[in-house]
Amino acid sequence: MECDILVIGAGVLGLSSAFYLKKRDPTRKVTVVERLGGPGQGNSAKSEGAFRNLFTGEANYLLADSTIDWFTHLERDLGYDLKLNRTGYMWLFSEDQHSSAKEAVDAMARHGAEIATYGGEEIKTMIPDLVTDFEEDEEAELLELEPVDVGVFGRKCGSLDADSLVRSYEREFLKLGGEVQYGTEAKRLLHRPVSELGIPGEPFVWQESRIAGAETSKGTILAETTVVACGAWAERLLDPVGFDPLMRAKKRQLFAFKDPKLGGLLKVSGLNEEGVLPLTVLPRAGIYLKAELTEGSIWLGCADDLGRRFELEDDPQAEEDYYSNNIYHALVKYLPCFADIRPVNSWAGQYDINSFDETPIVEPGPGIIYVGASSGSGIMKSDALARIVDAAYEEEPEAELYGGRRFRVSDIGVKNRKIERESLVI
Amino acid sequence: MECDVLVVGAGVLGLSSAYHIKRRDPSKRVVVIERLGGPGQGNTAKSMGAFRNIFTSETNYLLTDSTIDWLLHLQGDLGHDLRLHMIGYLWLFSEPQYRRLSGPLSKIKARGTETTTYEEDELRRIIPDLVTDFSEDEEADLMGLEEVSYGVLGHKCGSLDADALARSYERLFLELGGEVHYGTEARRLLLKPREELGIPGEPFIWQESGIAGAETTRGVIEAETTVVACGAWAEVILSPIGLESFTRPKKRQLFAFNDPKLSRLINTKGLNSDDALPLTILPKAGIHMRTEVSERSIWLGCADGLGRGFGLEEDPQPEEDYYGNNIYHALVRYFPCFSDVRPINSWAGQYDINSLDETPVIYSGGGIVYVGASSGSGIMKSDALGRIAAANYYGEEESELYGGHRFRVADLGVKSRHVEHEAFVL
Repeated sequence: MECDILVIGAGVLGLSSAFYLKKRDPTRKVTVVERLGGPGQGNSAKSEGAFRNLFTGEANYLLADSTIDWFTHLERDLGYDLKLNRTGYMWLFSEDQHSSAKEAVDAMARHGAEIATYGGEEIKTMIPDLVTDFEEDEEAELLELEPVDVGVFGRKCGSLDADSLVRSYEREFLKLGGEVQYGTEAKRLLHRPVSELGIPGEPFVWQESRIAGAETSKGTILAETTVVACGAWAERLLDPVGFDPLMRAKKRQLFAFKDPKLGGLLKVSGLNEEGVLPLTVLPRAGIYLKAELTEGSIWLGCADDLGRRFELEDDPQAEEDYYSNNIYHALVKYLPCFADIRPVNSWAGQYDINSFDETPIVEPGPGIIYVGASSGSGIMKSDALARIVDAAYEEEPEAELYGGRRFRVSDIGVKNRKIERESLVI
Repeated sequence: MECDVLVVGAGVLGLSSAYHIKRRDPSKRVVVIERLGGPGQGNTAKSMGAFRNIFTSETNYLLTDSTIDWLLHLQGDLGHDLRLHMIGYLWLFSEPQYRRLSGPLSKIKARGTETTTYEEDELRRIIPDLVTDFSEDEEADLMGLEEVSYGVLGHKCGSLDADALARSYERLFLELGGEVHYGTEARRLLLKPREELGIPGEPFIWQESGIAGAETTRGVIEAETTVVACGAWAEVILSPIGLESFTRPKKRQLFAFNDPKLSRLINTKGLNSDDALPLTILPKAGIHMRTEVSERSIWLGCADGLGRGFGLEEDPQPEEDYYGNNIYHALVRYFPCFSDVRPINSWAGQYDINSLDETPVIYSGGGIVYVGASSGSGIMKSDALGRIAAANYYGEEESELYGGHRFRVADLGVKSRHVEHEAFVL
């Protein structure tokens, strides 16, 4: 089979890229291949489904802020139900943490993000279930848990159904005549000379060569350009041809809870219209939780760093003990309402983490465009990244993001990368 | 066993780091472990053994220039026989390549770096075996080979015996009372909580934890600080604890030639006092070669990019065909004297490539100092990197390089990394 553009991966980045590439010129043959049976079934659907425009780096702010506007547009103007809400993001800090995060918070505000800061007392009023002070709790002191002195709250933040978002890109792409082949796994990229000489052993080191498509489980697909957008799996295709994906895969687990004792977290006052717990980041160990409105449940995750291995897994699983004999110890000190509550559901996905600057990469090469290394924020930057992929394909120096702001394509590439390292990472 | 500093890897970076840490405070117990049987037997001894101070990036220049001065000091003043020969580096450029690189080249010259530019006819006179013009050669034209219009010779460049250099660092380290254990493989790093609570499952995510040494094939070694300096193998011990090595390994092959047909080339006169062919880089495909002065032979390698996969190998082997049915086609057009000459020896090692900026990485934190990602220039930066690793260990902001220049330690780190992208990559 032949096509103009082959997109590998029908996750949120693959389908959004395919959509903009097709939209630019619907006469192009754009084909998406995906090893799984439907859209977003890799790591997209396994995510927390949260978004924020709170980033210290200007690039990350632009990518997320414009993508959030696109989400709103999809729901309001195009009639997609993304189960979008703006319940907000709340970072809880101790006094020390807040003073060391001050520069980061100032940077966020400078970009234009709407931020409110609350004191410990106010937070206590809004979230009565939260313990902010461990003076009476010797055990919490032994665990060296930080008290909650300050809450930094972002308003243009919230959550959506990642699966619905992926389907919206798929539908728009299909409406334009795009093709998606599920159950089709790209096994390897084809590395071919630009001008074939017909001698065995091509491409030779001295030949100009390019990526010319992929060998898939359903046959060879030749393409003028191959877009590699398969997230954590990108290294399986890129390593063998010596194209560096500049990321490593790390497992992230989520646990869902539904229990009458957690009712207080679904009745939080003064932070959002829905009156529920925003995505809330505890002062310790990157534990975060949010109210999942559609289910009336609480979703909880943890951004573990040192000690959590980098490793690509085909079917990552949540670890029972990770909640009950690890996160739980700290969680129950901050939120005693979790005492003796077990998760009703749990699952795991993988982040594709760029540890250099925690920012995605869009890098064109001969016959190839790589989009990835999204470092856990691929969904909330999906629309912007896809527009940048499209601009990279057109060899335009700038991409126009939703809402009209312009973004220099090479800033997010490798050779002329110009990215500030994110200084407040969950 | 317990020590202050455990260094994993007795290659050139491990031994240099160990030496500089020990030199700064000989009362520290510094232990180097190495899975192989002697110093530098991993990738150090398999390298081309070439060095240059021709780099566009200021960082790369400082690291190499000071290391070269140190190498000259080691051989000239301290009597270590490194088989150091200042044979130079000769870049051969086509007209368009030379024009493209005129900016970077004038930057290099502006620093005072000694270079000489030769025009085509001079090059042909000095190296009569070199073909610079393919107007009569249809096949070379068909192959898309670039003609040679200019040669740029860097003078403070040359070759050494990498094995002798590793032994030299080892000797300096042992003289100060350092310990090296060969045949001792680090199996995994020990991750421990700072304050143990005695509960099963430690370290928990909410605990402060750090690296406390390593489990080796000869038992556990506890250390205040562990220096990871095992080059391409770093990911094997860093990934399981979720730390980045910022590198992917890539195989590099070398082929040695000794044939009467090559003797005029081997003994090239007029470019250096050794009457030897400098490390010479062809205008195509990163093919490079030099005279090995001690053997009066030619060593040849190739820096292949797209198409040469990333992947760690325990015992990488050279591929017969890679020379005979690949490099050879282009090589023989530039140097017909190679016609029908077969290598007398070949071997392969691995580069640990940092694709983001092609510059080494040194970071510290949580009981660890990592030095690596040397991207093929570890030997020629070994002294500076060892000093910076030591400064990192001692918690200093600046490191004094050999010759007195001060280098900001954080520039090679991750959080405040400040390095320019290198335009002169082999």
